Amino acid sequence: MIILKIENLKKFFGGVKAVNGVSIGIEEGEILGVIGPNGAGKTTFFNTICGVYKPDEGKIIFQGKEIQGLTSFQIARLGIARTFQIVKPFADMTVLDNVISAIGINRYKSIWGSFRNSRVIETVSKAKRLLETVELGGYEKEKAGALSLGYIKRLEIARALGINPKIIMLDEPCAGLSHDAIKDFIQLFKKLTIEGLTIMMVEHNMPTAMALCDRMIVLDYGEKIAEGKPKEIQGNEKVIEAYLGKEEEDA
Amino acid sequence: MYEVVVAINIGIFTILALSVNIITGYIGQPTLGHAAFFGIGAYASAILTGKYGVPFLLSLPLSGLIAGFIGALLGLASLRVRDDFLAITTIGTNFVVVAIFQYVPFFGASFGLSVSPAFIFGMKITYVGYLFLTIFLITLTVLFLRKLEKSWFGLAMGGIRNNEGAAGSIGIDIKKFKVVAFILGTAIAGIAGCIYAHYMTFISSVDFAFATSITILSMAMVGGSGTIRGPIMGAIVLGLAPEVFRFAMNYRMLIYGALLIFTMRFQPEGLLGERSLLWTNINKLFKKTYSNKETESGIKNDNS
Repeated sequence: MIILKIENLKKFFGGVKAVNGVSIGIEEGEILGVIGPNGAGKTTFFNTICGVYKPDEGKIIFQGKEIQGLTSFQIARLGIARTFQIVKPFADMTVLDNVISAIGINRYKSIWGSFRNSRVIETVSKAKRLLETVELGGYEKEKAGALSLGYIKRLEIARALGINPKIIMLDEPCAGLSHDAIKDFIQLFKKLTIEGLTIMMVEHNMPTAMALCDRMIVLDYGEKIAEGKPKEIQGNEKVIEAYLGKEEEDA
Repeated sequence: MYEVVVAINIGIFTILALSVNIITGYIGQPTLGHAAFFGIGAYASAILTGKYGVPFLLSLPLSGLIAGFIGALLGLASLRVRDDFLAITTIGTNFVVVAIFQYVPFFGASFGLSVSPAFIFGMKITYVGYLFLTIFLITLTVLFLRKLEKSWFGLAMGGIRNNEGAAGSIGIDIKKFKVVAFILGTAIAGIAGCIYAHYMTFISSVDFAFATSITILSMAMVGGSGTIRGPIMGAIVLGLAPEVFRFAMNYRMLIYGALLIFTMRFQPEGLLGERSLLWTNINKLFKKTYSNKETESGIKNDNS
């Protein structure tokens, strides 16, 4: 079943066509990779889906409902979570509070409701469980800003999972991580999809993307130039051309 | 008598410092015009009780409501501008409000307004009465802030303070929470203004000028913004300073300014901020576990 469908999505910044007519359907429970060379429009593509930018054209259909033009908090409330390429932790709050704040997603709907106590047993234990999932168990009381990059990335995933998402969008989750950490992440993502989560991710590291993704799309200059299984993408001429440049024809 | 007057003054500024802290400390929006709302509360109560015969006990919450309403307008403006530009907007608000008090005859213009004495259940409030009223309101404010810190609202404010993009990504409606934070902070300042007006029995626009905003903000920052203990401590220290250093009266703003700069440079979290020198030392004194951890890390350092 297709959970998220994107039709002819366009986002322009002045004359720059950052996303130019991308269409894709995402199956429930799959891991879809979005790859492409630097400046291909991957992050803009993500930000347009998540409501950071309003699309100039096109439709975003989530579980049969059109969601283009909604703001980011409304989209989050529908069950689309995300992490950031440049990490955005709540740096001066504790690791535990970072996750608890996401669990409260439905409490922020009314101001009166939001005056209720947030650190009740139920939410705290859920937050702790999520931190265990991403292997941040011992760091609950640390300030998020004091963690290393790899741990902040784990924290962002825990925070994103806190909103009980149906789909999670990961913007380069493995960038800047050690080899071992990447292995951990691959296992974590596979586990999450088994539990029914759908993942859409931008990934630069080809071996990681190959190991992880069920399907991939390739963006270049804002346009989708290829779509398919990792193996098919690997041999695709257009993709090789986008990454490595066109082969000069010898005279 | 003198002690009581000083204590009431410090008490009123404690409420003000706690209230500005909601906007600057909790949700992280710079505001340099908080005295405007202090003034709006004071003038509102002066006019309500003086011209319309509203009883003091009713005008106390009403002056908070009026200040909060105008605070909501500033909150809406804060959605359009941010950082330095918001700071400038709030300074502008302060000047506009003071100018209105100073030039509009309805507000007494440059003569100021004399305020009718306040009665509670037919009894005129004495200085000691004002002191108790102030302490009561500080207690209420502190209880409210403690609730706020523990609530989802507190987490939402923390999220917005740290990163608006990330706050949006977990379903926090940034605009709504910003406006409500402005309402809360300005309404509490308005209530402080109401007490101030009746206790002083005379108010004029200079009481609520930009310099007062700086004083309020200094108290919150020097004490430690984002905490409850900080602004209280700041209001006491900076409130007592002019009494202790009475011989240096003319240099008061200079001393305030210098203190603010020194705090920013050497203790950016304030005297009692979470990782400040003073607070960590207090913690060390009271919590053995904490000091144990310290020595452990010390030993580790020696080995390496």
